[in-house]
Amino acid sequence: MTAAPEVHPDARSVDDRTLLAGSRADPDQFVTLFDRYYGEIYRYARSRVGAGVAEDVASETFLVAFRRRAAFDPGVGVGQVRSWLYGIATNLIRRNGRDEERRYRAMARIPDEPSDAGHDERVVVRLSAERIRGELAVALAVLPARDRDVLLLMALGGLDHHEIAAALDIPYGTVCSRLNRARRKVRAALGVDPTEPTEHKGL
Amino acid sequence: MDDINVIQTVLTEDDEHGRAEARQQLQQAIAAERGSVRRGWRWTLAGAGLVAAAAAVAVVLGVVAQPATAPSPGGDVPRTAQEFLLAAATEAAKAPTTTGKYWHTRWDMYYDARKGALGQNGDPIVKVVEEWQAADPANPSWSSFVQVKDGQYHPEVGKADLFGYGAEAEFTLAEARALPADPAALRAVLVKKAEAMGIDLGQLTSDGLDGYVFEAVTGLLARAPGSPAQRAAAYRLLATVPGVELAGTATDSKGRPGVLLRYNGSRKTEDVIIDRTTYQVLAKNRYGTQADKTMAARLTIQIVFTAPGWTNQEPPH
Repeated sequence: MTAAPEVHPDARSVDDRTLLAGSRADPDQFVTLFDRYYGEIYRYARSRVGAGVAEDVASETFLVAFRRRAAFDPGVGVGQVRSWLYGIATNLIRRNGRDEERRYRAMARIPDEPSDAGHDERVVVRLSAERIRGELAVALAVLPARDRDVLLLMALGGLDHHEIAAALDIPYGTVCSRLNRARRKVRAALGVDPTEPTEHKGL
Repeated sequence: MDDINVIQTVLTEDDEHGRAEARQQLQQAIAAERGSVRRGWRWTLAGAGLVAAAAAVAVVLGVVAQPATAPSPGGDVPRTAQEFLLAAATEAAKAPTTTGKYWHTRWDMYYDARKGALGQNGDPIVKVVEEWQAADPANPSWSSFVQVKDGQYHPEVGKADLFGYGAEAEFTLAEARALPADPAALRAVLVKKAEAMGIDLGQLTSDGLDGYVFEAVTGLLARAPGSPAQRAAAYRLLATVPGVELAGTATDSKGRPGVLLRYNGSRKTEDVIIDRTTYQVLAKNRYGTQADKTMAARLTIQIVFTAPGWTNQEPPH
């Protein structure tokens, strides 16, 4: 080949914080963070506010993050660029609180059970899934926004307590109490024993 | 199944939309921050990420696709893309070698302000990039990047040092001038370049290696300096890219007619309009998805190229 070899560091091996720090002087590096996290931030927003708003939320998340990248504090903990992005997305979603609640209310409208439901196993399965969906949707719609944020950052974003604390800029203890309160309500709505001390594992 | 799993299962929607447009918006923000340093043209060419599947080009903003079999006033329409491109190679090889103080390029980008199809919301936005890259690196190079206002183009020329050619800007002037004059060797260089770019390749094209080769070769033909032999090799290489076919004739936004050469990739469709006589790349068409998420093609960006060339004339600065 006649072209001079170029040094292109394997972007995937460069860690998020290095990229973010580097993007202050070389803004193009921020695009790698976009490529890495657009998909999951979109899906998080999609799950909360539906497809129409999710695109705007996901797009805006990265624009806000890009504009605020100089103010990002690298001293919080490992993996925090991702948490930080989730935090920005969560704040944007909260601005669309009515869209989120409308989505849950729409999900809560379960169709009437047809009389021959018992004869078709698939229908039963579908109906029970829809019932769960409806019950969950009602529970989520009535949760206070701050409790819902904590719960869904864990359930949809897979963030742990520390990451949620960093994402929302709230104390660790506050994360624990909000999460306990939210999960108690959701478990009650789903018919799971709300006093059962299930500790969610693997997240 | 505990409550967290229920929430995951019930709420999670495993799809993805809007990546290309979001990426473009981010790159606009980056370009805006860079200001005059890069003169902002990087993002405008980066519309490459837009994806389309179906490809029936409708009547939009001066682009009128005719079936290849339709009678044409310009004489016989070539039967296949390969026949057309080999004729282009033969013609390119006969062209005289030219030199000059500056390699001069200009491209006008037509797009819709509101992410719709071109022409859908009235007049398109037109931004013009013009560059004069000094052949001798010791001399200054110049560029202008302005939006056309009230139909008037007034270049604002300043010194610049970041130029590049290819699908976007991945080859320097020196690299472009040193490209092989053999189709297979040229492809090997492009493949190596794509491998070196790694993750960044997705920024240039969402359609893998063949998509990149199509974009890079048409980009080089549209803007890069090349000897007659190098240009001939580029047309020959283009003739070997799978998915390249003739899609009729078309007129670009400046009213220039040409042959519509289409790349039908697995994830995107892209066209170039090529002059029937000079075989110069007149324009590139890029497509996005419809607002309602159907995959029907809508022309979102047309980049119209002024024939590039060597000049001794100083830029208007």
